[in-house]
Amino acid sequence: MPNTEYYNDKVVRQFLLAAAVWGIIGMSVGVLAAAQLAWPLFNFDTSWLTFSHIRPDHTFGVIFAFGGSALIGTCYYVVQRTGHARLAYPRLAAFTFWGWQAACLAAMITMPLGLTQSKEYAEPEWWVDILIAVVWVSIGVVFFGSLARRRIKHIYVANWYYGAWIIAVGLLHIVNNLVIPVSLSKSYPIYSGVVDAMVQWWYGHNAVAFFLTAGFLGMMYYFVPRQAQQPLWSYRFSIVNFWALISVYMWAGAHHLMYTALPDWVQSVGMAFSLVLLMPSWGSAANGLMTFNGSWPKLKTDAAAKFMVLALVFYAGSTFEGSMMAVKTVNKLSHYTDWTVAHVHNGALGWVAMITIGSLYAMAPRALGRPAMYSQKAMEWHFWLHVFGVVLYVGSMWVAGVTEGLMWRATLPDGSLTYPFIDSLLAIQPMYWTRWFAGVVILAGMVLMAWNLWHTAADARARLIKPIPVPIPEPDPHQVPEPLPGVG
Amino acid sequence: MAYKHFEIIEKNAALLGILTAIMVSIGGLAEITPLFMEAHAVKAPAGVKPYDPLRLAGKDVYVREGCYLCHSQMIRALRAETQRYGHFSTAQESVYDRPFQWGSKRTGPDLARVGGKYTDDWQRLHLEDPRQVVPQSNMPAYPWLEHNKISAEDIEARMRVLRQLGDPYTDADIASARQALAGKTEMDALIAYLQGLGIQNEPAGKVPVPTGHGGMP
Amino acid sequence: MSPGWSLWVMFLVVLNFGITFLLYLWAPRAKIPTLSDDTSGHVWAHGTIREGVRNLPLWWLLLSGAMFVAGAAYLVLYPGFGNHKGILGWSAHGELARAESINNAKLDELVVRFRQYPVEQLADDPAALQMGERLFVDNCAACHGRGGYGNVKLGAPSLIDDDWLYGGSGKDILSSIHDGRSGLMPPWASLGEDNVKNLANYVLSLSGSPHDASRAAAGQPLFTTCAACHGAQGKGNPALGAPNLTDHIWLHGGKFEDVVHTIGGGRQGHMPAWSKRLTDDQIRVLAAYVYHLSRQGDAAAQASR
Repeated sequence: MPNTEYYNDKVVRQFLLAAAVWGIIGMSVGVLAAAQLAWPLFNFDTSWLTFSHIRPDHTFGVIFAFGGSALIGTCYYVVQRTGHARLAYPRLAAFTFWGWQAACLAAMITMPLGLTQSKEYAEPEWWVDILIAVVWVSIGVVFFGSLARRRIKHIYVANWYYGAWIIAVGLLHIVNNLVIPVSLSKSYPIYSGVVDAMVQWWYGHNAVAFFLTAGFLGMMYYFVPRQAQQPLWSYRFSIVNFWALISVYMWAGAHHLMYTALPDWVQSVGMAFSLVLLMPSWGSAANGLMTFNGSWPKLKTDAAAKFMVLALVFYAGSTFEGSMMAVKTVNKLSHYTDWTVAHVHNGALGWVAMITIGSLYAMAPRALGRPAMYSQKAMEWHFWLHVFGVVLYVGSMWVAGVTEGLMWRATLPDGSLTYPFIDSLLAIQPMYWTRWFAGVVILAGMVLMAWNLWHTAADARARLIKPIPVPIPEPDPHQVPEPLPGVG
Repeated sequence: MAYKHFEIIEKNAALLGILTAIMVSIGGLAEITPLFMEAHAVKAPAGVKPYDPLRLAGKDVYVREGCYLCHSQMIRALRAETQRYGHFSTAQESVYDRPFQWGSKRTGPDLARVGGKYTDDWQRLHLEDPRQVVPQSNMPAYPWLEHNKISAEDIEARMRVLRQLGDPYTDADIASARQALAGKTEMDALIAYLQGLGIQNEPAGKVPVPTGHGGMP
Repeated sequence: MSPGWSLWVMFLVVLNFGITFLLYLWAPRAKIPTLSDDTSGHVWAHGTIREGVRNLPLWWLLLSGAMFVAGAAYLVLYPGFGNHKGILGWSAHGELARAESINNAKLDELVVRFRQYPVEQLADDPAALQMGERLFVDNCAACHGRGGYGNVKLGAPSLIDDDWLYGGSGKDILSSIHDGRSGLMPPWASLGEDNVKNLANYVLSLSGSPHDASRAAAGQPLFTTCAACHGAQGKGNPALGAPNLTDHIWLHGGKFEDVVHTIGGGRQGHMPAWSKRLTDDQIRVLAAYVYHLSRQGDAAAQASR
């Protein structure tokens, strides 16, 4: 039977390019914000450049524009390969690309101009939210439509996570953004005070859980076995981790509100489930890491695999840190300090960025019709720049956070407080300088990646890439073909 | 459950999607619905009215300028915090806060009870350029607030939406906006909002008196 | 929470906890069909993706078991399981009350000692100064500067000299902090621009600052208006908070333009009352610290800046 169907990799390539561009934009804004905290003159007394106007641009830019583009792109790539079927609804898929870019652009322009709901990671105003919701439902239709067309009956675990990511983020986005508009630039949420706080952190924590964890676990579950050229370590492990992770995570948001005006019982439930969360978190990290068993020597030569392995190590590290920070005793110290910032970047730069970079390096040559990335040396450099930057970043913010936490509560033996507030700010200033420098190093690595991708895509720009045919029929499970390094 | 049940789920995309949707809903149903359904029980203290037009305008400037990114408005129930900032924050105090402004990071100090701590002049100089009064500060300057006028029609529209949401504004309250906001800048509004924090949220005559050595520094 | 909602929360906690725990018990025992190559037989992506069916590692089972126990125990001991209060009877406000009473007991000892001295003598107590400095930086430094050197832009007086608007005794300082101060100088622009400039020259001449002598002479008769508050000699009046004009200490700047601006536009100074934010004992400690600052002179200000 002749092959008549080809993978739709055009939309994948578009998202790949968008991810690289947004990554650099989002992180550049982060570097500027870091500079502003260290040296306030970088606010330039200009409203739309001021720290408090651009910080949402940094978070939205890296989470939704960079992370979102990378997730949607890899999701479309993975669902086709693991289903042996072309992406459903090609025109809708093209719409999701342009729609997502339009939503990100609208958010990134309006937020610094002061159109904000002030809910962290959900700042864009109501009409941007509606656009996001429409695009999001379309992504769901394309994804589940593609699953419905699959030729392989059993759905691979990567798709469970991509599916959970789409469903949960849709639910969170809609519930947290229920507002009554006043004008194009202002709206009020239907919740107030305590309820609003609970809804926001249920959303905020699960933006982390489902955007930055479930989605990227989907990415991990495909690209790690692919890069390790080993079977996934354990299917048994996948089942228990998946169902535990998606349900338990949804309880943990309350740990952002310890000792606040939120009722005690909600705080405690949030803490108890945050402890249980360690189980699927470490389970998933172990399932990925142990897949490399037998392939460890690859790490010497394969920068993409190096990124993935370290990503999983950071994933295990930051989820452990997160569960510990949810313990009330630790939270007393860590909350409101830069420790939270360290934790977020531990996850975002260590886990999310590294698994994304590793996956992009693994996927790009295949999607661009090349045998390998343009420069292996540049990948190697990127890896070490990134690792150095992350360690410096997280290290400096840990020191800063613990310093703040300890100074705020330090009490002399006679019972009076030891330090005035401003002393804690002065004490951590060197850490703010260090953090800025770490950000510059990480950004430099990203620029190197963009340069490398640009050259890898030279062929693709010059001529049409030969589309990759969908293998039909379904492969026989008992005659496993040799891995094909150049395709898929 | 036996393995074969999982196999059925994993071979059926619709079933997988539905079960996922159910599993991700449990946590929110447990933590949010009771608070939401019983939110009416959390009442503003007697005598506390929703934000007057000028302070409402100021609160929205506070939101727009992103102050919450560096300042919390939530004194946690911890001894070192009540000793530094005053009585811990209560649920009743934020019933009119849409959206809530508890914050998540203290690059600067907590503001829940900053009202009346400094003079209006200090607030003005500090917002124009914080280093005029606190040389070591890393807070950005907000000089444009002084030049932006408040639109009374806009604030009236906002008050009407808040009334729809249940905030007890009377027609007279809304009608008072025009006079209250005549000639006011965003700077005036923000200062009025800040000066009311932790004071005007409290019932009249019940401004928290320092207890023991906690005080309200 | 009403009993109905409490049951609702309990039900959902048990449901989710239960599902997770059963999965944990089930997974190591589940009979999953396995091929001879130890994989599940599922194949994806051109045969490149396969999966093993290995059993769960022991360390993970132990870790997860410990987390289940910890999570469940927490909900037994602490409030969280619906309306169940937790068998320890813990609450955040209870913990706070205990911590506050322990700390207040320590502070009491100190404060009882502090109450024995007048402010002037308290200023020699190192413990009072330490507490006072922290309170000063958190509360007063915003206007008066960290070292107490004042802020001309704000008209916040320097506290490190021996020049006092409202008097520098312990009692005066206490009363300034406790009740705040409001100073008002009316604007004199109505005198005409030329007269204001003449008057400014005369005011500058009082302290021997650079001035135009002929204009100062022309301004002298006008000073009778000012003398009501600042005194005939311009020595000021602590009862009104009218500054002394014969020294080189200027609340709102001592340049010619500053003085013209002050006379033409008037000045208002306001210091908030602290009695509602600070306890009387804290105010006494602060007063002692301020008293101490004024005795240290410039050297102290430089050191702590």
